[in-house]
Amino acid sequence: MHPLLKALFSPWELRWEILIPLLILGSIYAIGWVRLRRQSRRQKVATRWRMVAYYTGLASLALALMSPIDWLGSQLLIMHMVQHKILVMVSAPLIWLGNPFPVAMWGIPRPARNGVTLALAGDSLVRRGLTLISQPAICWLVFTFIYLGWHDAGPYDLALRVEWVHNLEHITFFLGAMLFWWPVVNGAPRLHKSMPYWGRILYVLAFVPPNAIAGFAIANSPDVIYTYYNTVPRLFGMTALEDQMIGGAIMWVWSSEMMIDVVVIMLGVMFYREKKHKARPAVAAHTHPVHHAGHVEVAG
Amino acid sequence: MRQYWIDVRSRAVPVALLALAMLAITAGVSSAHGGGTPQLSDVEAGPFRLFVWTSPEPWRAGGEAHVTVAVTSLDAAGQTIPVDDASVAIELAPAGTPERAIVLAATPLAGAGVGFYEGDTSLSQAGEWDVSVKVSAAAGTGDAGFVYQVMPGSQINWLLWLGGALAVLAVVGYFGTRRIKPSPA
Repeated sequence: MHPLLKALFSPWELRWEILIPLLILGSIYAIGWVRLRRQSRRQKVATRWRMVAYYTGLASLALALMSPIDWLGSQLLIMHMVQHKILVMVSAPLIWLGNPFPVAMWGIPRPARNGVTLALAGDSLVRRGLTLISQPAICWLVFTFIYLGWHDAGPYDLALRVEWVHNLEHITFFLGAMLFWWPVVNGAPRLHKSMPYWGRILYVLAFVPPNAIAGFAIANSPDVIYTYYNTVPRLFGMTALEDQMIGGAIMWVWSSEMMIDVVVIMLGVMFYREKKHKARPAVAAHTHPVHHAGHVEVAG
Repeated sequence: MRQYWIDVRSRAVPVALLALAMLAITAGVSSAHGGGTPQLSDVEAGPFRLFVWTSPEPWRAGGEAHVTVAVTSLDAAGQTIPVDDASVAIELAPAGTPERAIVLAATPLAGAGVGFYEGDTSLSQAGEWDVSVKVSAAAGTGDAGFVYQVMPGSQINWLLWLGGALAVLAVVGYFGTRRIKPSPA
């Protein structure tokens, strides 16, 4: 077996600072989901596919931060890139697709729910702050700045040397990605008018050039950019430069491919809605209107 | 009675969250999962090639001192391979006083591939320390060392910072949830 494959099958490291928040978030969602399902099975807030998306998102966070991928990231740039891609391109959008905010609101105790409602209601400071930072242009800029900034040699090497900086890197990557995907998935709480689908397509496509340029530059650099990897044993049959070449390609290809996937999904949704919209008058002419009592749609 | 349980439940959640946060802080300090400041890189030690990292950065008197060692050797093709049957001892002594050495028996690094070993201790004083790594395995024995400048103990009172942060959160929570009165037109 290849040593890298063997290392990937090593035992996971149970990190309580990761595991406990994941368990709390998972439990709150489960309670909210069950409560909402008890009220009505026809509502669109807590559906099965959303639950699967949410828990897959949490599981991917655990995979990135507690599996051997985490340790291997300190030995191979490839694995560090894979870890970052999971955090920003897999975990964050999947968690948003789970529609976590309204479901979690039903999962927390009433005083906490009241507190959150108060914080977001009317013209409170929290709402104004969130409204400001959740503007699509700001979401895009903040994430792109965080994403590219951490790939500078100085901060990247520092993160590999100093554990709290490494943790900060992962937290900012994940939170930045949550901000980035917010307007794309159009998750609740919705503080702005929803972006049209063509706007979302442009939004994600705008990320491709900066990401591709950075990935291309890393992959094609004649020197090792992240010098920390010069100081580790080359146990996996590749030099630091070869590792960097593949790592840069992962950054370039994975993120670009992910954005193109999103564009294809968006186009699919646009065509589906268009088709549904055109079919509606014909259907309405032949059927009686149906009113669903208790129908709740927070993020559709 | 029902009201009592509602009160208990509403208090239990923040208390449990606080307890978990404290646990998470403690767990975060003690865990080390790769990385660290490289001190020795591909250094020959008998039949072995050693790599040594230290964390946190810097070591402080009275604080945690973590050492990670990778023990490797070269096979006939010149490829680096891990040594998984090594017995690794880490000796730390204030400069010039070897009789005061602290000896750690390093253990295989949890959650990592083979050939990685780690040890933890706390150093009593600031200043120069001699750190020596001694390895023995079926292939033979070897040692390598480096000097580390330990900094004085931290003057930061983390409890005070934690209290301050909670106070700020409380203030933000209080004012953040207040509705702003509309200004007269």
